[in-house]
Amino acid sequence: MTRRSVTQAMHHPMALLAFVGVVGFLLSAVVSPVFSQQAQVGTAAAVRGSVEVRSGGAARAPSGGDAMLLGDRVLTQRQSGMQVLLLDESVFTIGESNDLVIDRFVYDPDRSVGEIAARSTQGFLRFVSGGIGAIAPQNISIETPSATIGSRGTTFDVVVGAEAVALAQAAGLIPPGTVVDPATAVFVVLRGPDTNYNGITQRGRVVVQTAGGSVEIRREGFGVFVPAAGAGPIGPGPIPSSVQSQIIAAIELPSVGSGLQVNGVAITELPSIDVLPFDLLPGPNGNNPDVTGPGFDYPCKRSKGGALPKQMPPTTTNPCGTGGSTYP
Amino acid sequence: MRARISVGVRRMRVVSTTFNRFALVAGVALLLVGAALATLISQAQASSARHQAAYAAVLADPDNLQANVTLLEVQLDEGDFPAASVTLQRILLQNPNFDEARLIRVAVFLRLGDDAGAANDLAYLETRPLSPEDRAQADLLAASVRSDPLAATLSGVIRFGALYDSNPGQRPGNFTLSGQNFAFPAEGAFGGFGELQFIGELPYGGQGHSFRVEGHGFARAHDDGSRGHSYGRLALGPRFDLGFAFFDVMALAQAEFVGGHFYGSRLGGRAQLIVDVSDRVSATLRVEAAHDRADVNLFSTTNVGDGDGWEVSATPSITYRITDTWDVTAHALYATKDAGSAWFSYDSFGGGLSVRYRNASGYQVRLGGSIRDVSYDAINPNVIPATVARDEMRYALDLAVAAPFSLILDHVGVDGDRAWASGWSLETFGRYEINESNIAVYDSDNWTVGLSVARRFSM
Repeated sequence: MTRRSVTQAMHHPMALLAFVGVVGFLLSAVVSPVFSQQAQVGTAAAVRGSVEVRSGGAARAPSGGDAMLLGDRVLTQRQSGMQVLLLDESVFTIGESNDLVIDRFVYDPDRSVGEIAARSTQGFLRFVSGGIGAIAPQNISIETPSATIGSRGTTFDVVVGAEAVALAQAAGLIPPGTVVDPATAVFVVLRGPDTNYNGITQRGRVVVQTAGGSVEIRREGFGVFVPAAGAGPIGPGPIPSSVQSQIIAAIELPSVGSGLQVNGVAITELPSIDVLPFDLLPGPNGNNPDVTGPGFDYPCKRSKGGALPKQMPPTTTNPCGTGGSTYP
Repeated sequence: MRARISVGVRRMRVVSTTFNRFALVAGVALLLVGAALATLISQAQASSARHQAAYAAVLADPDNLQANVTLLEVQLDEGDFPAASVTLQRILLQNPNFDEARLIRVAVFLRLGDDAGAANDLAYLETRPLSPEDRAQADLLAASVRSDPLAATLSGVIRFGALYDSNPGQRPGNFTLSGQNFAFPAEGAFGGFGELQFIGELPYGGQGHSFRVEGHGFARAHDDGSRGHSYGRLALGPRFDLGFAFFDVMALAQAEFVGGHFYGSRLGGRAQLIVDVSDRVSATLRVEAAHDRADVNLFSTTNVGDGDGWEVSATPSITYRITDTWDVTAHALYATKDAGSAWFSYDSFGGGLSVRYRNASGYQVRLGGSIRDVSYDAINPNVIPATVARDEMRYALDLAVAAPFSLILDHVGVDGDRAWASGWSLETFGRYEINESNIAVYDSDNWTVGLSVARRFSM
């Protein structure tokens, strides 16, 4: 097409519209991989008990393998739960009594772009970050009635509502006289990884942001309590194992059954897990000494190489990293 | 004038020899680094394709046990423990009595620092009819669980082994001195060594602050009865967690012995900043200042000068974690010492590069090289009776491999209780060093190879 013909075409309103439309489509496909409303963001898995997904005005009982769409609302009852596997390998493990909506999901690993925004208004929840946690950890947030929880590439548990108050009380996090609202209270516990995992760069961190200030949890097994909407965060403080066990139970129990099964069908033979016998002790990185090779480090070579004893014979070696040659 | 010409000719010879040796070392280094990088790239590509296929299979059928087990195997091979923990969770939600998977999850939780999660699973396993091997494994894991996140920890490694050194005279533990009743080491000597490294940490406060103690002891002896060499180092002080970084301020002490005699000491302090640059990059700056007492007159009938003085060094380094199993570290070094005698005073700068592979089993390969330029203010007049500065280049190439016993037993097909092997590794190492000086007497090269057994501990 010649320049003149392009100009003529551009002057035609329909052609201009079509051109803008095509360009817009191409740009949206190339530049903005933001998932539109009702786009699939993940998959339902490990559904247990009574779970409901409300999607586009309709409600359904999900089962493993169902597509989870942007804006889907997940409601779990007591003794119920499910996992949502997101496309970037982040995972929400939704525990009992939860109400969760994934509002925003952006993932383009080629351009290192990603964002997850979700809302939880009650119940128990665990989040494990995946690809987005690696490329844009600051873009992961879970909004609750009293705090916005920002992940920094990590695993953490969130409890919203009356259970949060009870657990924080049991953990000794609530000072006397604190005004608590059981409807909006939030309790957050960092589960890891710690600095032994891969050094400082991959340790878990969680930012709890409230109207009354924000705080960061940097140590695994520590938690923060927000007593009410508008209040500041309390903590972080160490959370007793007994309290953490209660949270784990509310997130992981009940299991599908006491037996073994695949897709609901009982089995008697398990697959073998073929993994290297990985070392159970912490390290060998992070805070722990390296395991490869001895620490050959001869201080003498560092600082004392300037001297030669006066009476060193001609054919001998001399101290401090210099030997082997003929003495002049 | 004659002396100057002589020194000049000698320097030219040194430069020529330096070039040849450097070319050799550089060639070998490039070959090894090239092979390592080629392996890395092919492994990363294969791993990525395998990972994507495994995750796609799980997304298509997330409750399929075999698909989840396959994904778990990939994640553990890659050392991605956070992802493995959530796959294990999915497996166990469907199959709570899959004891092997729960046992693996306990180990994964411990690697992640999630002691409460590990304790929870161990409590469940208490109710299960485990095999004796699995029960022994569970008991071993139970011993590693901390009940309190603020509990003090002690971790480290004990190592002992044998080595061959082509030129032990290069070492302070072997240098020969006349008339002092110390045995001369042979050129090329076998020896044995023992080593202990540990880190103790006492957390305090609501964040990541802690009080740390770091220790390192090393001792070496030779089969020909020649003089051994040993040293001990201790550093202690607080570590502050700044959120984006750790900051240490530590007091340092070191004592060094040669042939059972006190040889030197260092007393000083260290400041260190470890910064999160990104998810995959961390940078460290270490600055150290110590009073270095060089008791070199111990073995000489003649006073060779005062080697005592303050030594200051700065070591910036940066580590890039290419994948969960591969990382590369580059470091630079500047050091200076101002001693009582000019021939003990020096300035030095250099740098190095190392590539490391480590997988979830604890198998490690590390390849590194370094170059360092050291310039002494003057040469000892006992060596050359003229005012000549001493300048030298030091090259080192290291290769170390560590294979856990449990991995070796797995490879040779040993079944049964292997819990005893946890923490033990077989290690082999090699190092080639060149010291090129403008003063020929200081020229040297040597290589060291060895085999050792290491036991890591954590409590």
